[in-house]
Amino acid sequence: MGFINEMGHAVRNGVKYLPLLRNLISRNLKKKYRSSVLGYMWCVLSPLLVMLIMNFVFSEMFKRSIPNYPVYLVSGRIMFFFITGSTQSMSRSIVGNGTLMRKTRVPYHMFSLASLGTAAVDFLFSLIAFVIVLVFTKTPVSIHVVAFPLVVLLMFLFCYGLGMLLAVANTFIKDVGQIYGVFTTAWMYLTPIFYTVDSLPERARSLITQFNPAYAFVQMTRSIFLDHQWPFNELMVMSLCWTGLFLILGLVAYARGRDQLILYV
Amino acid sequence: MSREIIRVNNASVRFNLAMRKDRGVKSYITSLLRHELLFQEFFALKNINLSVHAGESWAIVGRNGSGKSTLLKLITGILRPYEGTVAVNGTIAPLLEMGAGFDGELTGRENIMMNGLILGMKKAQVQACFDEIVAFSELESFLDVPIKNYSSGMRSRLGFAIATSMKPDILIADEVLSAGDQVFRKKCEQRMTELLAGGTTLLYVSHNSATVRKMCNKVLWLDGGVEKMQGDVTIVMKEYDAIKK
Repeated sequence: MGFINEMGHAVRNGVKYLPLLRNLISRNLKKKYRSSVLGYMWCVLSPLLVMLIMNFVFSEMFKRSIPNYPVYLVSGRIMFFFITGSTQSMSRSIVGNGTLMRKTRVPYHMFSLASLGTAAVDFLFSLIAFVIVLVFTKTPVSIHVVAFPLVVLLMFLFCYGLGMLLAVANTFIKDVGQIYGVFTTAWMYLTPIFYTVDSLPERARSLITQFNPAYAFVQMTRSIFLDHQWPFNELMVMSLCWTGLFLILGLVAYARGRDQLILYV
Repeated sequence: MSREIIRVNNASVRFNLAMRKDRGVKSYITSLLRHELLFQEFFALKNINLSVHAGESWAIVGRNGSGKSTLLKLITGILRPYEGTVAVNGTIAPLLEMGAGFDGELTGRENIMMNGLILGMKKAQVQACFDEIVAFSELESFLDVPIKNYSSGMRSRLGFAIATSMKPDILIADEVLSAGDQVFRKKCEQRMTELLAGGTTLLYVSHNSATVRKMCNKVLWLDGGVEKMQGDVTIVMKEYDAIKK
């Protein structure tokens, strides 16, 4: 069971290199925010402002058909943009650290994990913006919110698998990063972030609801915060399947490609 | 005789020199279908044998492109052998480039921690060595300046100070003393002598015969990826210097 070994190896390395990982993440964040006047305020401010703009742009179009539109929009946006943002930055994580890989012995997936971790911290900050929107729209919060961390954890794991796969593939074939960039644009329009899935034609709707993993994560979040229901439904099953699939693909790709990666960075 | 700390057994390193970059998609696919080679094989090292015992000080000499750095990377574990085996029995501080892993946006202080962790030190270990690193690199007044504003000499000093402060079993140094002024070079040589006295094993790449004679007791001479000679420093360096003249 190479896969199990690989998982064990990844975890052991993760523990050993945890301080380095933390350091890499804080470096990424520092570089992103330090030079600006408002600094870490931007972590919250930037999603909040984007949400305001999107709300302003789309509210006239969809307001009547979607109740509590700001929360609908924001919950979709933070989940979806974590998925694409983290995986895009992971896809560059191995190629981008070529100089370090050629001179030191840090396990390569630490760089990928650092990209994921940085995106995760940004995500947690954007949750503050989400809370602000919840308060501002006077949206009641029910007990179901305790299931939200589970949804988030599942999403992190999904992105870890997908991101590892992309990081390895992008090292061998540099076109992968370009293709994925285009793909995420299509993915965004195929995910009901600012519209509802009901407004789509029947065929598109059934495809999206059955096969789009981002839809599952977005919709589970909405069922928690808007419908006040537990997210333990067929969407949870679907996201579990996608997460498992990409974890296996990502880790197998890394395990099989690891020795060759250094020759391609 | 002291214990064997590095054993390189008949190791070869092969690179594929990519030639497909200037080719189009069409010719790429047709040559794939015809099973033609898309690259040229190139052995950077061929059938290298090396046995290093603890406390020894090895110099690796040879012309540019003879495989010296490749051998260091092989021993460090950055590259894997295509054939043969490499076994290392101790902690390694690789100094393949001064300040590899330094981030220009971070300050000297932050880079000390980052670089130490990258080299495989523990956080507490870096903290314990912090003052010593700062003192050795003589950068007290520049600690909170982003490292992108450092001169290359300052970066070298810091890199050397961090790597040697971890007191590794094996110090791998790739022409690290070429940067930096005379005074600092003296200081570095002294540091390496101290480490050697303390039992550290040294693998050292240099083009400077005088330094090799001073620092090392064993020499491996590479030429075009194969071993030309190895043995005691006086014997090998005599031949080596004779060829150069």
